[in-house]
Amino acid sequence: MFLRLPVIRLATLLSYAALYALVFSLPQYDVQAQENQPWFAQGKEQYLDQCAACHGEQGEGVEGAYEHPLKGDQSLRRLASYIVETMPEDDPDLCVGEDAENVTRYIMQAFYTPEAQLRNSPPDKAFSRLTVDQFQNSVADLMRPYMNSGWPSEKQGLNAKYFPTRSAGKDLAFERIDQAIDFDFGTDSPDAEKLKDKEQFAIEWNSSLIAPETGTYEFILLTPNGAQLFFNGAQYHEWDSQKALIDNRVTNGETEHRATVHLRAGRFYPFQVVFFKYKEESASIRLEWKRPNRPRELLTSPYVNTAWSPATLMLETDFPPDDSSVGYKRGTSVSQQWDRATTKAAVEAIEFVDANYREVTGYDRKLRKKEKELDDETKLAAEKERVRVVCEKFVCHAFRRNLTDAEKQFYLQRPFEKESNPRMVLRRVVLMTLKSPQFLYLCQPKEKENASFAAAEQMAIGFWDSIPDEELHDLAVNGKLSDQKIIYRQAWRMMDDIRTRAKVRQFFHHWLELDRATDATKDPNSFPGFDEQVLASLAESLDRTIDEIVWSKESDYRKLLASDKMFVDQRIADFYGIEKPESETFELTTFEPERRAGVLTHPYLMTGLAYHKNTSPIHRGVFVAKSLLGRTLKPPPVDVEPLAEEFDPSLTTRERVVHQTKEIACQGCHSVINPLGFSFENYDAVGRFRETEKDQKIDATSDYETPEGKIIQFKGAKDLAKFLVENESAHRNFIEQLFRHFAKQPLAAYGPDKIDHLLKCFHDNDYSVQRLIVEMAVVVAQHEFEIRNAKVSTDE
Amino acid sequence: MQRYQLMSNRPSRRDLLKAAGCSAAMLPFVAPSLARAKTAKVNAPIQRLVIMFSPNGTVPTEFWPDTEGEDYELKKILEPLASFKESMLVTHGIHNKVRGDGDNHMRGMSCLLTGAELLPGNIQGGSHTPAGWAGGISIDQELRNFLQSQDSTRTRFGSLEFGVAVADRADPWTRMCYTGANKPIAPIANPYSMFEKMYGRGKNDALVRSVLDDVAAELNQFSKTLGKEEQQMLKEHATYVRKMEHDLESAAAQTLDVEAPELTPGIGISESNMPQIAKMQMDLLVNGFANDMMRVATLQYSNSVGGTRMKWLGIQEGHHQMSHDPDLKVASQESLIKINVWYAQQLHYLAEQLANTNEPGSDRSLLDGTLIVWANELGKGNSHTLDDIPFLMIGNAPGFKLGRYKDFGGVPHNRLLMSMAHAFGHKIDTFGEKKLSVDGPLTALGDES
Repeated sequence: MFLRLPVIRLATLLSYAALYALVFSLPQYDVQAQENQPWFAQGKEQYLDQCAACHGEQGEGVEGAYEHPLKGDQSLRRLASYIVETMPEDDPDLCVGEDAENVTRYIMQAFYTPEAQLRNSPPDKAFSRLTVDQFQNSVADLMRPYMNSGWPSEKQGLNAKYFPTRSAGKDLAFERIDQAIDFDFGTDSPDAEKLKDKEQFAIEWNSSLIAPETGTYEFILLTPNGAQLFFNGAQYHEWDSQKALIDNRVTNGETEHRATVHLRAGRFYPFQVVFFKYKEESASIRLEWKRPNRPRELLTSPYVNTAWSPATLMLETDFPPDDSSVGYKRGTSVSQQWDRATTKAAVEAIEFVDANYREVTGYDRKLRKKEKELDDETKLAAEKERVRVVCEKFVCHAFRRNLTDAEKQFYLQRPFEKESNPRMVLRRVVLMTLKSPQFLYLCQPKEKENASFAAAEQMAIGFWDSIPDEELHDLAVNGKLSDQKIIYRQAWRMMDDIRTRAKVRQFFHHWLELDRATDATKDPNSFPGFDEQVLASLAESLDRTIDEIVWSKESDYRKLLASDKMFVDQRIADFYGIEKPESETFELTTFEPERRAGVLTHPYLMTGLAYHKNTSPIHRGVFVAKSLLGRTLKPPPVDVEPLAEEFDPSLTTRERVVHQTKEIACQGCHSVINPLGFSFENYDAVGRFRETEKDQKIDATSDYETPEGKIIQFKGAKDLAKFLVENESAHRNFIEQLFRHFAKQPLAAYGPDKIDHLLKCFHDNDYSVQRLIVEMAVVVAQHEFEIRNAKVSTDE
Repeated sequence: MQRYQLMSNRPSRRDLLKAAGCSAAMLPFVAPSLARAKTAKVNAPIQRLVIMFSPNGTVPTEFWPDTEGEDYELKKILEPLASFKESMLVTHGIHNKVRGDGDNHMRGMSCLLTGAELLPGNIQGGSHTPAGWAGGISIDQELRNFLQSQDSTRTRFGSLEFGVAVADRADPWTRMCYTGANKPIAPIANPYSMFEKMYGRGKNDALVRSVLDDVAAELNQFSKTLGKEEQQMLKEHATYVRKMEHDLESAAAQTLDVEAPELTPGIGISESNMPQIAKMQMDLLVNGFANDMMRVATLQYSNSVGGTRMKWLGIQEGHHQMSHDPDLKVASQESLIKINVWYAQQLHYLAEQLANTNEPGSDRSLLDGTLIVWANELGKGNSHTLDDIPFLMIGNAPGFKLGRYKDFGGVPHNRLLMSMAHAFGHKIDTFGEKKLSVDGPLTALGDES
């Protein structure tokens, strides 16, 4: 936008842009009473006379003049003083004193503040198709033959069976649970007692992999011996194995074998590794994996679980990314690429159904045996009936409701008339269903009797970004969701699902802007030993630290900002000089309690919000302002690079930032950003605590001015954390952001009072994050009843 | 859309597609037969090779004729091939003399086309020492590389490896084609996958096409329940559905020299559907030749030690198990004959299809330039011998005198493999084990005697 304007205006424009900052909820007050005040009429007259030519009558902006709408959340004092000093542009002396105050108050009341914006154009729930994530999740969940929600067993690890000869499956010697596949047997057998023959033995591991996030995963199987990795349902049989993902049964001198798969967060993928030694000199095997954005590492608990699970459809189709311009992904547009991708994915789904035809249609061994004596015609009739039942269930779950009579005819009868082969019928129905707008768009019919279905749909989107599971769907079918108690019960049940955990984890990654740290590299001279392994450990540590707090019984939001505990493994302990944990995995440890403030000062966060060598108070300040306090800052002016250290090597980072941002044009935003950012100056570019920089004592003190003009003094990050824990705006912002991630809609679209309602719930329940999510589920579910009831009463 | 031929002054395929208003991204890759255009100028037929494999040895008394020469008798197993008697060479006395690690079934399979010893490994057969993969390239791949190295014989794939009821596991018993030592090639045993490889997503394209009208109608219906702004999005969505319909139609209209065969949909990839799968694979193979997608093909039925139960022949026991039974066990012998007759029928179908299909742009049949070699991993099942592998050839190849039965008297099969290469103008001095290749190609193949 800037670039389209005449260059000459750029400087003024930027300074004006700097004026805008953010969003704060002012106390509710009577709108009419305000507008009856004398300053309103006077301010309005002044505005129309002096400002509207460039800014538009409603502050909407004027093309060719000042194009941006006038909105923001500067305090009255700051906005007024800016107007006094700079406006109108051609004669700033024209609007000063009482005039300036009146016009400022008018602007704020009429359209400038977030509340005014909301009042003038209350957001609606955006009509939306399934987002890419929701589409892929829904297709994967639809294809699970039993459609049960997943929950891992208590027992992490892999079920291992050991066999005395090279033949897996023959003469089981013993079983146990292994925490990982990581063995070097040397020339010996795994168990001198139970496996006497060192020359030959075989091992079979069965486990379910739980994908912590969506993306591309690589498996690396390291062994000089014969081994196969079967993934997602394929299995080994001595003479009739299914397709192995990695097949090194026949050794060929290679000892490292790799394969890549695309997995979805919170889904289970069964896998099997079959290994055998036969007359080779030695035996060893190790299974590693490479998660998205992580270095390769041993595959171990908690990501492997002994629970059995059916195969999950793994879609390979590439989708165009969804729009995320408003801070969360939305399905508010369609494109040719998207249409093609949905078709391609639907074809993948048919192939999955085809390949798993027996499982999908429930044609198991028992049934086969029972049918043995029947003639072909009877068998075909039975097969047709099975397919019909599967189709009905499939279409209903995909559409998230009951079918109309016309739909029954269209989806369940006509295909049988068109095709004689039941397998082909199933393929056709799956394709038609996944291409149907009833599946692709989140839009349940507006009739009152569909409220339960809409509520179930909204809850499933909220918790899982997917379709309702069997239990929820059935409750909707029976119209039970009008009962608030049942909604609560379901919400708590849905909370207890691995998919919910995956989604909540995604939220924290987004909220804390953790993708900044993903590829961070640091100056090896300043931070020797800080490598991708340490970075990976930190990422894992932060995930576990957050999980520990959120999924504890208290689920206390405040602990996120105040806890002095952190998960530490040996690599983190080494690098940060913490006492080493006893085990090889992560342990929850107290970490510099007098210096640390929860996730705020977690080294991973600090590492992401810093440069290669130096800290970045600006990034840290912007992060706190935007992500934690909910202030929406204007983007920085174009072409501003941070001052290089070489500019004046004697200056500390803080001094450089002060120097660079001292202009009044910058201060509009930087008076907010800098004090917040400076409070982290004790944490270097990898998040280690430091007392000095360039032999000067660190100055982490700062004065932060709230929008109400109140000055808060911070002596460092712990003070800032304390402020955030108690600050209501921070709470509101957390609720709003979490809600958007949950519902993919702005909270205000569900009613202007909902934010206050959720805030009260949050406060009343000791800041329980879990409880907050449950309340959100209730809000979205009940909304479907409210709008339908409202419609009925207007119709009447 | 007109059929296009490869000529430099014609618009390119891409131009034509553009003119038709569709993008190439959606279409299966249809390679023009560059090589055929070049070879077409010469008089000789285009040379091609098919190697067909069936397992567990043959039944010698019902395979080999009693009389050598052109006036040979057709025993039961070869009866189905009667119509090709004059272009068929039945051989005896060609041995797989490769030794080293691995049992006979393993070496029979993995050395059949490589002529090279197995590498040391961890796979134990029923006897002998454990072994790994073959230690060298197989003759089909050697020839493929040779043909692909020249402009006049280069084709889109070079070679295609077809399988029928091949066990879904990778080991020296299931692999006969190798791109090199330790590099087995898995045959494609699913005709639908092969179809996709050859013609793109055709199978599903047709299904997708068949539902698009319904999808468009539903979008329209659904749209009526929405507000104005929302309808706009649905309207846009509907245009993409129409666009896809158009693209798929254009793709379907894209012409090959010869249209792709229509596969019966929905055939499960299982042993009991072996006859249907075999036919589909052979139709694809012939079509691949007709469209000059490749000049070399292998067709692997089952695998070494294959335990196929040919229930459609009324046989309940597995092939391998019966092949172990003594000659005196009449029932097993009868079944084994039936099985081999069935394989001969498959070969007949293939040869006949090639004979009945013209090389596009000429009046010659595909079989005129094609050599089909039928091979086995053993001579005979219950003895597990690697002597007298029942090599049988049909078709035509320079230097091969067909239409007779000949006993070669116990030569290493490496020499036959070399002859095959020489027939294609690839004059190799050795193939596989050097010491088994010292006498060069089998000159007796072309003997008038």
